[in-house]
Amino acid sequence: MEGKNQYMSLRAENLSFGYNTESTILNSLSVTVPKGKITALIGRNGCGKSTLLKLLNRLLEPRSGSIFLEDRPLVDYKGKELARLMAHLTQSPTAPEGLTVQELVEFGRHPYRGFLGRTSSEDKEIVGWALHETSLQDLKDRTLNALSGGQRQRAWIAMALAQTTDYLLLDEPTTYLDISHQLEVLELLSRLNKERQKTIIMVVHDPNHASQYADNVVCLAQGVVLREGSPQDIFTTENIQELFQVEPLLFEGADPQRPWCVPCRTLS
Amino acid sequence: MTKLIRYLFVAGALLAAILASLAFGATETTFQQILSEISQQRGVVYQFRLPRTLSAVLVGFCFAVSGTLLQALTRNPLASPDLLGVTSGGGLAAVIAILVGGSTVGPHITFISFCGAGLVAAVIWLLGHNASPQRFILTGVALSAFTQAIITLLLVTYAPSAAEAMIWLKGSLFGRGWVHVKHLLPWAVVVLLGSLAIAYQANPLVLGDTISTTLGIPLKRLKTGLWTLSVAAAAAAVAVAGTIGFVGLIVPHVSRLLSGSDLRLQLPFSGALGALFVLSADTLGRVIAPPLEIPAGLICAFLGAPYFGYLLWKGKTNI
Repeated sequence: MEGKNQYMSLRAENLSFGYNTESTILNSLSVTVPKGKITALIGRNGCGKSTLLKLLNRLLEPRSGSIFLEDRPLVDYKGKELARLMAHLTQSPTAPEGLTVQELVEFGRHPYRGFLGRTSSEDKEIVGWALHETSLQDLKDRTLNALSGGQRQRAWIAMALAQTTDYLLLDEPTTYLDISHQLEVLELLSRLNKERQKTIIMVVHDPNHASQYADNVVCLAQGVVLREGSPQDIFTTENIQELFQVEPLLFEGADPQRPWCVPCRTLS
Repeated sequence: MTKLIRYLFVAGALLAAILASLAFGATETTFQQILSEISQQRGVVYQFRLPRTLSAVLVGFCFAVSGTLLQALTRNPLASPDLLGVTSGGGLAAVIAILVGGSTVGPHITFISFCGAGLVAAVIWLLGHNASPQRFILTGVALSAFTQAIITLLLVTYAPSAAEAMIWLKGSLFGRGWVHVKHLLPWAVVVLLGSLAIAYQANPLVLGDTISTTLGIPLKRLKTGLWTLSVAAAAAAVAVAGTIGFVGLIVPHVSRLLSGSDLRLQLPFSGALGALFVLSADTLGRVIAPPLEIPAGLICAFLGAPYFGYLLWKGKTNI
């Protein structure tokens, strides 16, 4: 049963991609994202994490290879259909001047509305829920440019939540946030995963965000999956040395399956 | 609620402007006279003032809607049919036709300038639609400068016989009759219905192409639709009234401030405001210094340019 569940998820087969003919970002990469789990993508700058995320949400077209969502080729999905299954928080998104938090979050309901866009009571309820989950109720009438970087980031997360998708793709969701808000976002994602069985795929830079919150860690290097596994499997001294070229200090916390990782110095 | 009041205010002002346009002229007309002449379909009001008024309304509507659609398409508050060269494309075609056809402005000019605007629009689309909005706009700006240079070259070369073309280029509603209304009305209706039909789909474009795609927006189809509708509107208007500038730039901007950026509200608001603007400019041009007429295009530029400068000065506009 577990195996079938894994199969019925999001998987990429022999994916290759480059922004032009000279460059190759992903090189025949294959990966399966287990359903109902939190998967963290880690790796050095330029290893193809964001590119993989964009390919998984069809924002880019692979040079070769294929992607299957729930066993159906990703290319077969209609735009709105995909938008109801998968939300994507991109890196540093921009909103126009004058847009309020509430208006931004309402855009998340776009894939559910009819041609002329009548708002249903369900839409209103979900927007309210998304604002509540990101503690933005009091700020909902503020314009985005009047918010701090962290508040703005939470507003974008709220928009993705309002899309009420089974899959949630996040590209560095904790950038611009102070440590308390970083943990708030990660705890929120963890809660959405546990309570609503959302499949979460996130690109993170802090190794501890991966080790403490992810069930499955995918290490990318030079356009391929270097290693994949549970935090306990991935966070070993040799792995971290190989992946990041840094000397880590690893130690056990309350949960032995989730080691903590302190990067100490570069290896060179 | 305040938005409703603003709507009613613009609707009321437009109605008042229509009545003023019908009443003022070489001979002043009372309200009763206006009604009786229109109902009997004869007299100065019915034959001359009414079609000219309606032409002004439709021209203003088309330019403003065109600019609104272009600003949504390019995510740039400075995009407008004149900036992107659609208007000057129509102008160039008309100037050539006027010079070749021996200085007469007839109904054929309407058709020819419509084709010219469409042709330039097609070239801009082919060159720029796969690029970023900024490059798309710059493609239009370059093409606009190019067509305007050719217009100037033609006017200088054929200076003695170019007077008619010059007047046409200034953008005027002088002598516009029922034939022009008949040309404009179907386009205005098609553009209004078409743009309202895609208005909601186009709303997320303000968030950028990537996020629009993640929300399931069919980007290519939508952008082609926006461009086609905006070009049709601008071409129809420039074909009737010549190159009236600034309406397509300023009116969408003002209406975004007043009605918000939801295109379902902004488009009709913008259209009404554009109609009010051009009609007022035309009426003003007729009554300021009779018997001399100041072309509506000039008045629009006189009013529009300072507002444009004000916007830039206030720094409210991101370029």
